[in-house]
Amino acid sequence: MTAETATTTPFTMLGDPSAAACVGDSCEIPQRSEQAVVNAQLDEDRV
Amino acid sequence: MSTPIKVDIWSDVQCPWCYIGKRKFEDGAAQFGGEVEVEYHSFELAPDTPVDFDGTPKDYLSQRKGIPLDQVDVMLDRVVGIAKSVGLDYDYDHVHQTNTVKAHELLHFAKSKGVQLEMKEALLKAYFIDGGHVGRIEDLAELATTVGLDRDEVVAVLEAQTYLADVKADVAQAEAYGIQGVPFFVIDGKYGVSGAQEAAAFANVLEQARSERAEEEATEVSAR
Repeated sequence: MTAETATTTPFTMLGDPSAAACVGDSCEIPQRSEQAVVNAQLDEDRV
Repeated sequence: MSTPIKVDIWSDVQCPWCYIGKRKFEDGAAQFGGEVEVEYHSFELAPDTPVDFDGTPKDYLSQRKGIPLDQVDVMLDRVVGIAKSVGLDYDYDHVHQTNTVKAHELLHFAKSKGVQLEMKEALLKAYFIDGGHVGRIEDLAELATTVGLDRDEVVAVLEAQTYLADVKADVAQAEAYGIQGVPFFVIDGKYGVSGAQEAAAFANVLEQARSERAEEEATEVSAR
């Protein structure tokens, strides 16, 4: 979901507009979430 | 006693961000500390997927989307890493890609029995972690017994498509709202939150909804 939706829904959109979501059958990962992956791998001593 | 903050969540069972977002929302709701009433609504990401699709999401993404398998592996590995960061051990090697309409019908039936939240968690766990099949009636009926639902009753309502109209109504409502992706959270009927936000973001929105309510109540009292 992108900020584009915020202009079409009847709701006041809050939160991070680039948060990860599945649109159609695509569930791509936002680049900014890379750090979360690195953190998880650090937790597992994989880095 | 105040009325709980109502949270309507559009979500699909085979949406990786929905399970991650669920955990983050639950964390945010705990940080918020107030009373929250959650209701899940149906959203079908891939309604044309066959129930007995013979393959994993890796096969699905490569065959259907034409993404090279090695690229799919990288994508899923990233999702698995983020899931891990919220305590979820996704096992994509054993996920059964399927059609989720029956799972959504089951969620509506579970709602009628007061166990929708338990059923939602069981479905997501079955799909992403336990390698369960969430498209076939027999498998769904078996899973439903773990949250206290009657197996025969589940089979009957799913075979009769008793709740199919409710599923379609949710999907239509999402479309009317302009919801293009999930998870999508509607807080107190006025705030929209899209995607697997950080827990603090959910806590902030819930707090904002509570503050606004308090202001409205104060205004009503002073107007009397």
